Amino acid sequence: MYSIFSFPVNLVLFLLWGLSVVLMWSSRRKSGFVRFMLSSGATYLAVGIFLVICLVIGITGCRWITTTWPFVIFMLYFQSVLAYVILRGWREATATGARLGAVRWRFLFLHAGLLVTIGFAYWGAPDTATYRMQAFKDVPVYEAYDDDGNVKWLDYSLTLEDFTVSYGADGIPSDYRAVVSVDGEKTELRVNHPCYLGFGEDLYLTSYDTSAGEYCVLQVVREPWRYGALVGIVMMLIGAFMLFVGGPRRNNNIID
Amino acid sequence: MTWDLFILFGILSAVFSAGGAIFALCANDHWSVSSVRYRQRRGWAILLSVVSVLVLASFIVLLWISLGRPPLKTMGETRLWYSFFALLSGLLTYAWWRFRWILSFSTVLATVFIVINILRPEIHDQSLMPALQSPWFIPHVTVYMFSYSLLGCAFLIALIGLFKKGKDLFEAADTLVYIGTAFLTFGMLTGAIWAKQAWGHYWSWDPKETWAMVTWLCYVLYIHMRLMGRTSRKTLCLLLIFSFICLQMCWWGVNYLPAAQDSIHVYNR
Repeated sequence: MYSIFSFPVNLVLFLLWGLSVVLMWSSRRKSGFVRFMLSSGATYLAVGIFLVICLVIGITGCRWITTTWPFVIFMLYFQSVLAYVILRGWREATATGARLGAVRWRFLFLHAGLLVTIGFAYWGAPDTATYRMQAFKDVPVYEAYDDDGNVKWLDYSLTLEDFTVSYGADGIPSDYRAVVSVDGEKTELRVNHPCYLGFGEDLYLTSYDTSAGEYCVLQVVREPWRYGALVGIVMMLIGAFMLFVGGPRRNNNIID
Repeated sequence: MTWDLFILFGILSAVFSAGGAIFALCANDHWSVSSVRYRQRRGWAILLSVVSVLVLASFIVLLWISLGRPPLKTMGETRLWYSFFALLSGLLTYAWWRFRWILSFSTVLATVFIVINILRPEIHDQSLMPALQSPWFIPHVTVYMFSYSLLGCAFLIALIGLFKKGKDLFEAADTLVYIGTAFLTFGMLTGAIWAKQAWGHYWSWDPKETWAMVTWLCYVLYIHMRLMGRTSRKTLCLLLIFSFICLQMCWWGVNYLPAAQDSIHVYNR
C-alpha cells in the first residue's frame, strides 16, 4: 500500500514537511498553529495518544494499527510537535548568546534523538523490506518471499553449503549455524551474527527445519535508512546518560 | 552452587536488610544529623544494608560461575536480580536522601521476591538459547532490572503520597523517576540495537516491546507533567502507580496475555 512512497517520493515528502515546519517557525511564530504546537496541551496530546495506541496494541495484539493511515497521520503530528519544541529549545539556548547549559543539551539530545530515530523509521518505512527463503543444501536460491507471499527475485544467488546444530544437556538447541555462499563467497551465519550484503541490506539465519534438518530459513532485510535511526538511538543514549547524571530540577508544581 | 542454597542466602540477606531497616527507623528525624546517636544508628543501618546486598551479590556470582552463563534468563533469575537491585537502590536512596522509611519498603519489596523465589523458583532451564547469546544480553537485562527497582521505590513513594502531603516526597520520586527512566531508556535502546542484530529490525511491535513502550511513555508523561504545569498530588501519585502496573505487565504480565502468545520474547516462560 505504501510502496508508492518509496524513494525518492519519501525523501521529497520529508523535505517538504521539514521545510514547512521551518518556514512556519521562522515566519509565523506568533500564529495560533505554532503556539498550539508549542503548548503543553500539544505535548500531552502527543504522548497521551501514543500511550493509548500502545496500550491498545499491547492488550489486543493488533499490530496492524501501526500500518493504518490514522497512525501514519498521528506520527506526523508527533514528529511535528517534537520538531517545534526542538526549534524553540535551540532558540532559547542560543538567543541570549549564552552557552548551552547541561539541561538544554540534555533536552536537545533526548528530543532530537527521538525525532531522528522515529523520523528515519517513519520516512524510511516504504523502502524497508523483509524477505524469507528456504535454503536446501547445495541448491542455489534466487527467489525469496515477503510476508504477503509475493516473490522477490534476488540480485545474487544464495547457496547453503553446510549446517550444524548443537544441543545443550537438556536437549534444547544451544547453537545453530549455517555456512552460506553469496555469489560464491562463503560466510558463516548464526543467530545474532547477520551477514552484511550491501548498503542497508543484511542476511539473517532465522530458523531451520527442526524435523528433518533438510533446510534453513534465511531472511534478507533491506533497510537503507537504518543508519540514521542508529544515529538517533545513540543521541538518545547520550541524552539518557545526561538524564541519569543531572537528575531532576527542583520544582514545586504541585497542587495539594 | 545450586538454587538449593538460595534459601540460606535469601533469608540471610532479608534478615540483614530488615536489621538495617529497623536501625534506620530508630534514627529519629528530629535528632540532629550530627548527633552521635543519629550517626551511630544510621551507620548501623547502612552497614547492615551493605551486608545484605553483598550476601545476595555473592549468591549471584556463585550461581553465575556454576551455571557457566549469566543468571538472567528465567523469571526466577530475573527476580533474583530484582531483589538485589531493590536492596541496592533502597540503600542508595537512604544514603543520599536519608528517608528513614525507604529501607523498610525496599526490604519488603526484596523479601517478597526472595520468598517467591524460594517457593516457586522456575529455575529448570539450564541452557541459554541462541537468541540470548549476545554481548547485549547482560547490559540489557541488568539495566532493566535496576530501573525496575528504582521505579519500584517511586511506586512506594506514590502510595504514601496518596495519603500524606510533603514536598520532599516528590523530590525523591522525581529523582527516582529520572534515574529510573534513564535506565529504562538504556534498556529499551540497547534492546532495539540487539533486536536489529538478532531479528533484523530495531522495532517490531512485539508484545514485550509494546509494553516496554507503554511503560516508558507513562514515565515520560510523568516527567512532562512535573515540568510543564501545576498538577495535583493525587494525579501524579496515581500516574506513578499506573506506570508501575504497566511496568509489571511488561516484565511478566505480558506472558499471560492471549495477544502475546506469538511473542518472540518467549525464553523466560
